[in-house]
Amino acid sequence: MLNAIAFVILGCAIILGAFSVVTVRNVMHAAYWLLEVAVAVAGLYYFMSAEYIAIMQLLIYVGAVGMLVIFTVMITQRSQVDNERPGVFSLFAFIASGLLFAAIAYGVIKSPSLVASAPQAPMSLLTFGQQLFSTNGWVLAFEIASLLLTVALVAAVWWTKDRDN
Amino acid sequence: MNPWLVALLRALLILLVMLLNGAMAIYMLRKVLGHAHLRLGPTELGPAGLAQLLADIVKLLVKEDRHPNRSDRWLYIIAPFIVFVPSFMTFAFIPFSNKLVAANPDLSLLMMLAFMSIPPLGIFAAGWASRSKFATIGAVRAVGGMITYEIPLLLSALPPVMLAGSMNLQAIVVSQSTSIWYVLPCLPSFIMFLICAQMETSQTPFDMTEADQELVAGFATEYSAMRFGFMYLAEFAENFVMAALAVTLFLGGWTLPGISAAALGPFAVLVFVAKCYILIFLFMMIRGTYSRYRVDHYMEVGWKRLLPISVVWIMVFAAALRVIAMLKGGA
Repeated sequence: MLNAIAFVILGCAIILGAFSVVTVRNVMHAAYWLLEVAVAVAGLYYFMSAEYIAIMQLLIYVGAVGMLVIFTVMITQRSQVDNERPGVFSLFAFIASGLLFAAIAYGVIKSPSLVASAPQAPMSLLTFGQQLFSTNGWVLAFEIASLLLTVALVAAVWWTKDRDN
Repeated sequence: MNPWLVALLRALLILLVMLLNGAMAIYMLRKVLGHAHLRLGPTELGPAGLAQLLADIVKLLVKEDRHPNRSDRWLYIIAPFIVFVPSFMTFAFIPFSNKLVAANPDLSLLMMLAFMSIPPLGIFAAGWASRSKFATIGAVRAVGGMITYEIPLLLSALPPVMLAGSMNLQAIVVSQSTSIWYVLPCLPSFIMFLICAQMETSQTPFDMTEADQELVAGFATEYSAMRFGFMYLAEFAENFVMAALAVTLFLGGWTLPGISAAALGPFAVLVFVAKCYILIFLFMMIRGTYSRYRVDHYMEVGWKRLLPISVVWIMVFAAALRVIAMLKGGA
């Protein structure tokens, strides 16, 4: 019951937010609508008993990526005029997005129901951690990802430092 | 009882705690800062100036709620709530005693930190929507500092997690009651945590976000009345939450060494709150004695000192734990 109500509320919030992201003329407002979508998706994860994913969604997508998006919008606007994006209607973009929507909808409708193959109980946090860090689990992928991020971090430092001296 | 009613009562109780803390913190801040500066603080209204608080609340409630003419109305209105609501939600995870905690999920520490990462977005919205140079500069400084110190803050909360083997705040407290307070084995983390907490709540060594004579009131310059009140309530709430987190992670939470939870009984709450306010007192004394860091200095301290130190310390700490475990296993 509670889950159903939460799903309806969050689902509506996501649809409204996603719609606003693309229709709102003010770029900064669009960025904040994007954040609203991210928060609502985190709520959805939470009610699907995926607590860990919900927390990561909040920490990373809202806290970090959201901040990056907002800073980017702020830094790239030269004047208040840049805030308003032009409301140009593009037939090509309309058709392309319509086709994409049709393809995704077709895929969703045609694919076998996921409900049957879903596990009965959510995976406990302990099992999740053990899966992630065991040698026959995902530890290699985890290490590669962290190495990649470290390289990116070092590269960012190298790029931004003063190269005159 | 009806689960909806329970949830509602819990939320109201948290709100009450938050409001009481706000009132307490305002009075304490004035008195402590006053005495640190060799002043008296409020003295006129009521005993020891206590009723000054009521006057302030009335002022905040009845003041005109003004909007700057060219402000971004929609964001301007919503910004205080983006700051307030997540700060309010973090209170739910604080374990006041072995029974008194509003929400106790397995990952309560991580959840609390996740909610704490949202208020900077509201602060930024407030500064940007005000369309005022003071507010915008203040917001950029505040947010820059907060996201810089959030990473060392997260990392310095990890050693207690490693020792306790749990991300549940209650479990961390319980495991401290059977061993020692984690401030001893994790002293460097504790110090880093306090520094980052000072930044996250933008208090004096790092309050270039306001720097009164330069930026008026930073990101909140254009706000008045209760909207301003909400932002300040959230700031005091964050102050308490940081102190509560430090107490829970490093100073044994609601326990006292040598006294069992059963013997402590209802006094556990008092012990916890007393510990929190001692830490808040420490924060305020730091605020009263240290001078401001310059913006580029505190960014440098954050990225070039605290971040590498905390990463290296975590590796050293984890390795030491492993070695000790191996030695114990071998002996």
